[in-house]
Amino acid sequence: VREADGSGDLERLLSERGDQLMRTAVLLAGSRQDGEDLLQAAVERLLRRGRRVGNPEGYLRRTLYNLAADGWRRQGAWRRKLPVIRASDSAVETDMTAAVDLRDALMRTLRRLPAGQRAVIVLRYWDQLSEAETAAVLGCSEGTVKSAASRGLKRMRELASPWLGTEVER
Amino acid sequence: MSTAFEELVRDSMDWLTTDVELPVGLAARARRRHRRRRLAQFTAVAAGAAGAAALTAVLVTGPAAGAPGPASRRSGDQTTAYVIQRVDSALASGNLVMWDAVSLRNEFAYMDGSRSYETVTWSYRADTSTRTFGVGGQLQADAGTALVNGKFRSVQVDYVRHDWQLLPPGPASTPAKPCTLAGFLAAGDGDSMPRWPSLIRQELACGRYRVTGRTVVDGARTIKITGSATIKIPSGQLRIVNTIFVNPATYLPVQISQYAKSVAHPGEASVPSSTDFQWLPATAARIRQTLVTIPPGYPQVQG
Repeated sequence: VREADGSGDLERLLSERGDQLMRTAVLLAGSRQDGEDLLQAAVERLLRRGRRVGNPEGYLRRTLYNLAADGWRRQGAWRRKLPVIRASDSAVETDMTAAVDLRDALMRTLRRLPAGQRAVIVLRYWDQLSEAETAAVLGCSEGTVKSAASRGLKRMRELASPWLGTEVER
Repeated sequence: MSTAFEELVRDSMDWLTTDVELPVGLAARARRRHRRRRLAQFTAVAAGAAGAAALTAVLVTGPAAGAPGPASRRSGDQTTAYVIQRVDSALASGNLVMWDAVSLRNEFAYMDGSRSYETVTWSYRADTSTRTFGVGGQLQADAGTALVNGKFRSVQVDYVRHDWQLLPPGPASTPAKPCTLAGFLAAGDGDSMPRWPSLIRQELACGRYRVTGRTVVDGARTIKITGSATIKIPSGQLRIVNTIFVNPATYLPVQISQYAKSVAHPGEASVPSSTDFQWLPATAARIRQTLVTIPPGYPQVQG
């Protein structure tokens, strides 16, 4: 990605991978607006690095995760801003609204995970990276990825338990 | 091997992001901010070397200050940029249920043979339910998202024939590309448009729309935003005009209208079709409205 004459490289990358990167950003940031800000900040960093970046998409992904983690650390109080998660009457509904509620609840629980666990869950189950690939992106060991994924899923299951029926395999 | 819970997490992330697309202009905004940052760095260095007073003189006599456009034009552009940015932010929240209604009188007969009908659409993220009512107010069809065998699928329930069918992916379920004529026409149509908020945000970012005034719609003050595009037809050219009316307090659209007029004969114009919107907090009851219910006993038919 060269700023002076290679703007087409960035445009091409975003036209091919932009939607997927945007979705990852939304999952990491917790909302569309924050996801847009996050991705825009990552693109700015990519422009700043210029031609020194060999793999722009990989750089963008790493930056997304790092910026998201920084943001979470800075805004330590963000969890308090989240709506209280509680089991509503919909938990016992058997119609399809319950399925929407369950997905909604799961995504709220994702926002409540610590930065590292959340990044691992998004990389492993959204981007479908292997443990080794996830470790490479996050700059940690495979063991760390494995334990963060396990703890993250366990925590999500606990937080979403009011919505989970017995049909979900444990 | 993944567990059912892992599958559910993956499916939920897919559900949350299914209608998320890269916003138009994101790279350009990043590039502008990057240049401003570099300019600020350069300015700081230059100021240290040459002195702040000399630098100020250079900037004041630079091309931007030397060749301003007409004041009213600049002011109008700033207003447009501000309003469009506010509309974009309002629509970006993604946590509102959209309700829209449109009355149509068509050249072709629909469902029960009538040429006049009304549709009411409920949308929440990518889920949508569009109910079509005949002249007597009777429900004729409901098309949109339904839970079929544990998966969210696009279906249509026919209340005239008492059956339902899966809707294959196609033009009706594929969002139009923004910044194209198809995107412009679809955004202005508004009728039964899943992912309309996402499309209109991208369309507004294309630079085709301008703030054109204020007006009252259904007794409420609104800001008027207008965009137009020209299409060729065998007998000449048509100018299609989309007008979005937004609430000046919330910046959410309350109505969008679309009409066509002849380029050669500006006095000849079609009757505007219009769609009214409401934006409501996403309660369980409202989310339920955004899903199609297949009545028990209705057989599935092939489309």
